[in-house]
Amino acid sequence: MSGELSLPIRLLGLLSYGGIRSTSDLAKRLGVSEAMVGMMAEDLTRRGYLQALGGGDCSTGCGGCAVVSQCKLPGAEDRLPLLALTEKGKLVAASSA
Amino acid sequence: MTQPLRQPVTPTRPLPRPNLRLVQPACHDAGPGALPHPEALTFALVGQPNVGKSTVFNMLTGLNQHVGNWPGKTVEQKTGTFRFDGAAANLVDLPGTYSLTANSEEERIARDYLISQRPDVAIAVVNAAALERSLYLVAELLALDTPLVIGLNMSDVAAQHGIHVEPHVLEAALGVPVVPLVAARNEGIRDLVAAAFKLAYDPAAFRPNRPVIRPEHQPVLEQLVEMMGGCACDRYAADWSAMKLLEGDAEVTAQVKGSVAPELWNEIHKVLLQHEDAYLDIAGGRYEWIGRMVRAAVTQPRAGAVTLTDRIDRVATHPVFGLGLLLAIFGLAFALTYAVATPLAEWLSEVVLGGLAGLAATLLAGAPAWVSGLVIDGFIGGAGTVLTFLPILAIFFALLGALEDVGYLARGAYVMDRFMHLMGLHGKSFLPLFLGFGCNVPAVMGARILEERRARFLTILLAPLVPCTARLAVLAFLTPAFFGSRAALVTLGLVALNLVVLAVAGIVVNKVAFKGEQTAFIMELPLYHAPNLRTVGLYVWNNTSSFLKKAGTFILLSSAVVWALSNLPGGNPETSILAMFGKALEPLGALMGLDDWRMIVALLSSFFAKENTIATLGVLFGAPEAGASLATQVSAVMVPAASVAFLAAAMLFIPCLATVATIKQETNWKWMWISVGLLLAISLGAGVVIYQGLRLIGVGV
Repeated sequence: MSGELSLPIRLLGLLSYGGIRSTSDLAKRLGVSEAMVGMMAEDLTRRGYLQALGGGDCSTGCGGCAVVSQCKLPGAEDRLPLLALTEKGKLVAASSA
Repeated sequence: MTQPLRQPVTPTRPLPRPNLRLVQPACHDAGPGALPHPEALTFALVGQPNVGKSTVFNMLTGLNQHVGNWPGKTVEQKTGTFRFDGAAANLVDLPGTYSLTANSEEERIARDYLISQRPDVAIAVVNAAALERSLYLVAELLALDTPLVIGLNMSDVAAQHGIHVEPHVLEAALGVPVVPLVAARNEGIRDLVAAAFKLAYDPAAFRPNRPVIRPEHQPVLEQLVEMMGGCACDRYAADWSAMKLLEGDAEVTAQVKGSVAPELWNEIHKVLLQHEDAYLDIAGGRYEWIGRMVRAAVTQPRAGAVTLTDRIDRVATHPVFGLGLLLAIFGLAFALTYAVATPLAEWLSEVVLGGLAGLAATLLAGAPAWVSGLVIDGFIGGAGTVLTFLPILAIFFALLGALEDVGYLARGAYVMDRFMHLMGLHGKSFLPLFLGFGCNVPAVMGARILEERRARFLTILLAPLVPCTARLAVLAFLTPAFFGSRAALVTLGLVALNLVVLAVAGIVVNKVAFKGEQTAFIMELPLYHAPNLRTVGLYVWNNTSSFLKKAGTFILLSSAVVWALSNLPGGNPETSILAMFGKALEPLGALMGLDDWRMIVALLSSFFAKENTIATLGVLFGAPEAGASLATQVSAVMVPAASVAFLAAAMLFIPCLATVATIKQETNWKWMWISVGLLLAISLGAGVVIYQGLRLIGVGV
């Protein structure tokens, strides 16, 4: 293990190239399960390396919107929100990429 | 080589006597049996919420339990007693937690109890169906001194998902007793308690394989332990506190800060700042440890659903085939909408609205002409025609909801993103723009996720170029009448035109505002599964009912206004205010092949609401008559080239009033006018180019 980057750092590194990464794709690249990618993503979000961009739950600020149901598709609320790197996350990602 | 996070602890007898707090006066105390036995062993049940921890607690304590609150907290505290082979024991059911990082009150209570009250053994109930998540908590529990026994619950649920956990292998890998349980059926609980008693009587047998810390952090950990030598925070062990400091644990940090001299804290703080990201390695050590445990003990034959998802995704998320599939699915969705909903909409228009118009004409025969005109041409012709959208919207939303519920729509976004990425259009603007397919209002508001002002404003500028459902519904209403069997193809072409314009504008915005910077997202692609009819039905209901409300209020009022403007003064539409206005714009309309002023007015009226295009056409062309729906009447006044130009202009036109108001709210007057002007130029420009282009090559004229 020594010399290799830790899993959360490798996960952040995979996000340094842009584009949507599916949890299943990230799991394959890291050699872990999709559930573990989900766990790490949640953890990294709590720690401020990733940020939730709203999405399924319309948490981007359209709570009072009259047409809120239009962006609230069925099933979307049960999933991981769309996550992106924060400035703090970008620093780690850039150093590991 | 890596080092254990904590050196194995070998407690010596006598065991620290449990100091089980005597609970507060009970609100529903079960009786004297619930009082703790001061000399008995104390076990603490710990685990995530909903893993069956409370079931184990209830099975063991029965009526001998006490329910109250943790002192000074609103979190429920459950304590009890039980006897096992003649020996008494106290049992504490700790609040359900996912970790011991003190993120919540529950986590803080569980962690403080384990550290300060020192139960003889902690019994962790873990979920075999979500073992990795459960093992994270186990990894943190192992960092404490308390001996641990694991109850592997829900193996039956795991088996249903094709997951098989080998308890003996897990036990060997963890170095901790693992007892399989089906708590709900009281299976294995006796063995679990036996294992806990055995460990309590022989704590030296507790030799777990703990997660390891990376070698580069070991000296830092030791340095912190040394620095904290004078720390008065005896609540937590120094090495555990040092690790939590490195992890950035707020509570431990505050406690250490308050317990050491300010100069010493400054030194500690300096060290922590130098290792700000140490948490990633510490957590990484835990994840790698979990991975090893799971690889050793879990056999996960690829269940049917997983295999099916993988197989479908080979095509659905493929950069080329995936895009083709997306286009095919949306083409099919439009074709299905036209095949099923258009005949229904026509029937509603011709039979129901035609019948209603006839009935109103009979009933209002004696009423003043303006009353019957307003009711028949204004309300029935305008708002009534918009209501014939209902089948189109219902089918469209049912398909959209079903595609999402099946798990496909996330893939659609995934391949669209790859496509946009290839074209250089990418950035955080993707998400708000994606929301625009539902409605442009949330798309404009969604731009709030962009911190930088210029990027936000430019994204807002792009948002109205995304074809919203109202525009698609107008398209779905008019295209079949204009193009018959080629309607689905024309619709796809028009949506593609919208997206190309969006992409071109987006590339410019990306270069200007984001300087080509790429943003990555993590998206969970759900497993494919059969759609839930209730969920999809609810989605359709929510959307169609909000459409009905809009048609019954705003569109009804707009129809009345359009009718009044088309009849004033004098009652002749051809000499009305609206006609004068429309005719003044005829030279511009003529460039797009729109020789009929009514088409120009209909296009402009979409500013109030996209559906108004249809309402206005309904009013201006009069209430539907039997055998001639509105769409048929409209198609008769334009050549096909002009129809395409009209639809393209309608798709790219200024967004509805609600969106423009939101743009003003989210930006300022200047940007609102820039948006309106730009879209006006793009839409009319596209209409003119399309019509003139088709005329030049002699198509559709």
